[in-house]
Amino acid sequence: MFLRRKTIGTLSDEDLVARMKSGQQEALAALWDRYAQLLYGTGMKYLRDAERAKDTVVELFAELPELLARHEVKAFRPWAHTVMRNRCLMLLRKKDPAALAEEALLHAPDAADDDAVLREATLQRLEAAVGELKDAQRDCIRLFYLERNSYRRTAERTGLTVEQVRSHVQNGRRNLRLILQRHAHRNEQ
Amino acid sequence: MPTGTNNNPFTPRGPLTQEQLLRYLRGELAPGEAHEVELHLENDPLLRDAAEGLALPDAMEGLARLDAHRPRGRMGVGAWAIGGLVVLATGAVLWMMTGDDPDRPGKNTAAARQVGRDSVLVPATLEQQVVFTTELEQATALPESLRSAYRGGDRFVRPGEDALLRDTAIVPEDPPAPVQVLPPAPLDPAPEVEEGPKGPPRPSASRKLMFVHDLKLVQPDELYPVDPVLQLAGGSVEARYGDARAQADARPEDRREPYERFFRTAMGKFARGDRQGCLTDLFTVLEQYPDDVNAHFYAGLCCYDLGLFPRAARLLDRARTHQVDTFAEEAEWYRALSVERASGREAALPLLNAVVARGGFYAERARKHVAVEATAP
Repeated sequence: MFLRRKTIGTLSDEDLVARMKSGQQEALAALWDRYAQLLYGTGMKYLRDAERAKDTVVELFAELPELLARHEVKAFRPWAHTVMRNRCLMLLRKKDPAALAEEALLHAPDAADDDAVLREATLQRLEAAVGELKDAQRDCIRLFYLERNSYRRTAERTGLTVEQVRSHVQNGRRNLRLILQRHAHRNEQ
Repeated sequence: MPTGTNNNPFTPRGPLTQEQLLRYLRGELAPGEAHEVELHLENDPLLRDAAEGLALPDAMEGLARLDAHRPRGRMGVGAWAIGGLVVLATGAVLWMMTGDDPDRPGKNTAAARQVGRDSVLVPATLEQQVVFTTELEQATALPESLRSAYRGGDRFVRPGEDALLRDTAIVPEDPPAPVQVLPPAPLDPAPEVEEGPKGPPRPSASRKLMFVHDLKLVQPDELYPVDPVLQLAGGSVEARYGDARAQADARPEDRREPYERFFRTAMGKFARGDRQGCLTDLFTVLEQYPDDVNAHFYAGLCCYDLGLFPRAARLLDRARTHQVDTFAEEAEWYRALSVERASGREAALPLLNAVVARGGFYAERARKHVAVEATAP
């Protein structure tokens, strides 16, 4: 046999959560190793304050055993992201309610983050759906996803900035999903 | 245009590592590699937010203090990951300050080069992880000294998935066939050895082993008379050098890596399920050390997982018949499975029977395999 023992680092997030619930401190440490820096980065994005971002992460992990005992968490990664983001928004609300509205509007995550329709689309359906996008979104989606160009290459070929490309890719992907869902409903009827 | 589920343009093809993200933020990735990282960013809201936040100018300051609050527990990759992210943030800040685009090649910093190389930010998706749990569950019946309950990091193809894997795999060409058994001359002068250099390796039941990411390897001093060093290929070129050759000439030490460190990275990829990445690294080894049994065995497993069964069979056969017989038993079993997938049951039957006859760890499994196949309609 060429393998040795099982290490905690190879466990899934959900296995770690289960172990943590049974009191294994090592599992909490493993979740920290996986997520502390990502959650800190998320905190930085919203709070723009290193100290507050760090404190928010530390508080979140301190409360994690209790939170997980209260909630049934099926997927730790998106759950932790949402909790961190909400806490940041609460802090922003306390600081400046007007800024919160703008921040939340600008950075709200996709409501319907179900990409199955994109993954399962056939060539013909994808082509047809891409054709229905607005010009800039269509170009960016074609170049980025279908021709596998980087943001920068896509920007060079479209004459847009990298930021504009990212925006068109995100919005185009969302619209593409909606178009494909609409087509699917139409076909069902 | 890629479509469908086997080459889906919306899905990244492998896990994202710390090193990849760092290099992306430093602008060191080739456009195709940058696109892979960007697919991860598009697919993972947490990663996207985190990358955006870590790129802010003062992100590293708080990050450096974050690790002091880590819950107590066994120190794993976290320390490396946190340390790496400090450097990542440094690189990101420098990148932002210079106003460079994200995939411009040629940027580098001395500090950023120190980052740990194998912490995973985004694991492989379920689609990418074809986990063959039964294979490894059986290992729990072993004595403690040999026991493995390691399940998540290993994967093996199931029937019917061969074509999918073949379609999506980007695998380098086979390294050139070995022209000599002895390894090439070391890059550095050989150190003076009082007792004289070791002779060629001989079969032994007590080879010195090392475990990297829980994967068994033969220690290099069992294989080579002097510590092997890998000459690295590719990589980015700093702006102050005219081309890769000029950079390599000026800083030859940057293009070499000790065998153990190189394998640590390669085995990290293997443990994470990044078989293509691991295979690329192992072919680098085989180009320079064509008779390396560690590389033959794990490259064989990578090819098997990628659905490249004839190539897997060839590589595993080299591991099976190597004079250092550490992997002989495992290689015999997986070679038999590779031959079965490549050439059919009839061709594999003598090999499976040989595994049964050997009576080792895989004998019972091989016996059941033969019996099941015999009763299958």
